[in-house]
Amino acid sequence: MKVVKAHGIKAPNSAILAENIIKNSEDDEFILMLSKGSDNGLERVAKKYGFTFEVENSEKEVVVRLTKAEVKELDVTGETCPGPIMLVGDKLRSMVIGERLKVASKSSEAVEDIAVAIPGMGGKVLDQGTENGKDYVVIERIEKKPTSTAAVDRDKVLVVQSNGTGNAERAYATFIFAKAALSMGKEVTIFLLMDGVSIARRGNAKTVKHPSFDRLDQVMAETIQKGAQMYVCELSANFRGIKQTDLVEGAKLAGAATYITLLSDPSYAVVNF
Amino acid sequence: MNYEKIVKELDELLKLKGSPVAVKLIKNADELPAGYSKMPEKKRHCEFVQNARLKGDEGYATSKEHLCKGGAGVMGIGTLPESVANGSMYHKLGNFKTAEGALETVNDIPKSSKEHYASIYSPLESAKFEPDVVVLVLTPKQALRITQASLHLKGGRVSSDYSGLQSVCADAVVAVKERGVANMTLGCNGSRKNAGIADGEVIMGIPPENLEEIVDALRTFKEKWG
Amino acid sequence: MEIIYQVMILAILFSGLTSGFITFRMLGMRLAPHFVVMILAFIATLAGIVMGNWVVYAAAILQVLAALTGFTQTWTTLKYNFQTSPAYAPHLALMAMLPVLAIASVL
Repeated sequence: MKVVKAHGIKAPNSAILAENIIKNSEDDEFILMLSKGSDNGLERVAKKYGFTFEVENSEKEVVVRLTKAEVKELDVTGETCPGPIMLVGDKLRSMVIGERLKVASKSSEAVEDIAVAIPGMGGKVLDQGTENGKDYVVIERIEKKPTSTAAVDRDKVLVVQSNGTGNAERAYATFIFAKAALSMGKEVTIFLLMDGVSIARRGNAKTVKHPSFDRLDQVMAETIQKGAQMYVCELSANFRGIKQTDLVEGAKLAGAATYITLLSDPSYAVVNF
Repeated sequence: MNYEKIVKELDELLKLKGSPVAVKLIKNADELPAGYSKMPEKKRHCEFVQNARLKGDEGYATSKEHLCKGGAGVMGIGTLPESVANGSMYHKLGNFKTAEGALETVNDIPKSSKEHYASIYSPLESAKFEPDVVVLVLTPKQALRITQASLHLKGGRVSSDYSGLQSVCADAVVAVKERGVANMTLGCNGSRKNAGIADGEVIMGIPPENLEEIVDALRTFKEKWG
Repeated sequence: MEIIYQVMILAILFSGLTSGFITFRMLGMRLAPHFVVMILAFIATLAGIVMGNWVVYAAAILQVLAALTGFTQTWTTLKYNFQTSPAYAPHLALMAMLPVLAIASVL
């Protein structure tokens, strides 16, 4: 892929230059950064040479992408967490700004995990879907913006649960705190890991009951219904032979990348049970 | 590529004054080709080019040897001086009526996307390295022939861009290296005055891989047009 | 029929009431059936030591049931919880002694 900054060159010269760049290069993908308005005539050039033409306008410039190549594909099927994210991370580091990669896997959790983590890794998600029985996500390498150290509103709560049904009080607290946070207008994410994953296995939570509270499965269902997002650590689930199909409705297997991304997000307050 | 042969032919076909100049930008000292020493005197990039062209000088120049920090800066050798980067120098020199005009121009000057340790210069025929760009100082008629030759195989049009600033460095080296496309430029006050680019000369930067094609076309022109 | 076995079982059950109560507080109400059986076994064992005869057989059945319910009521936790297992392992270890001694006491 060739990236050329050619600011200040007005149309029609920008199109002439683009054509000459194509002629002089063996690349099958070009990114041209031009001054606003200088993309006039480039679509014709793209068509002439059989490139797909994309334009992205920003405040300062216009970025034209000419692509002929099929987006490179990385299949992470069969890789268990954290394999997929490690492979994608390695690949992403070797990509130039603007380069794209399609990551596919038979495991929708692995793809979801990547999609969640990519924005914090110097990439952006362009597209996500299912194709030929595999889930995929198309990512683009972007300039990683330095995060500001300014204070952020901590308007999200991450409840981490690692004790499971073996500790009824902590299990109840997980959902009772989550419900309280939801009612306070916070966005809540519950991450079950270690013994915590036992709660999400269908049938387990209904064995937990305290005289003062509803059965745990009912409390959990209410919490999810109120909008809490519940992730189940893939590694811990594997340790216990638990699959996505064994989980209660609303619980999703997620990898280490999702967990680390959530933890790294300064807008989350983290509670551990 | 046999540059010695190419230069010999170019010379026969165009009657060049001096040599085409091989210019290469390197990222670190490890990339230095054998047999090249540091330039003995501090000079401007355009002077190094002219001296390679007319005197056969060769060698490399790091940030310390570059007298013109603006020229070095656009090539990624050292940082661009603030007064050059924000256009104030050119505004003060009178190139532009307004600071905004100066800023807009300097913002658009081609700049290297990578940092470099040094620039290496050599007459092309004796270059012991693969150049990034070949710089030719030509008469307008020679430039016309090179232009026609560059279109001989695939046709089309030529677009050259310049702003009368940082010509031999940004227009003839950086733009060509970054784009992979030849560019013609009319020099700048600095290169005309300090490097002695003559009134009747223009500068062209050419990707080295285009040279064979150009020479073939020039040969055809010679046969057909005399 | 060795009454000494019943005395040992009584000691285990007495100890089990303590460890069971601690486990009960951690695991919640699902341990209630096991706790009820354990209390009944404790009373029957005491009665068996005092009265002997058929009461010892009834006590032995309750002792085996106490051990059994200890495992059935904690099964889901046992199956999926590894990190918290030390908290209820002592109680289950005590319960696992009961069937062996109960059988020995009636032979």
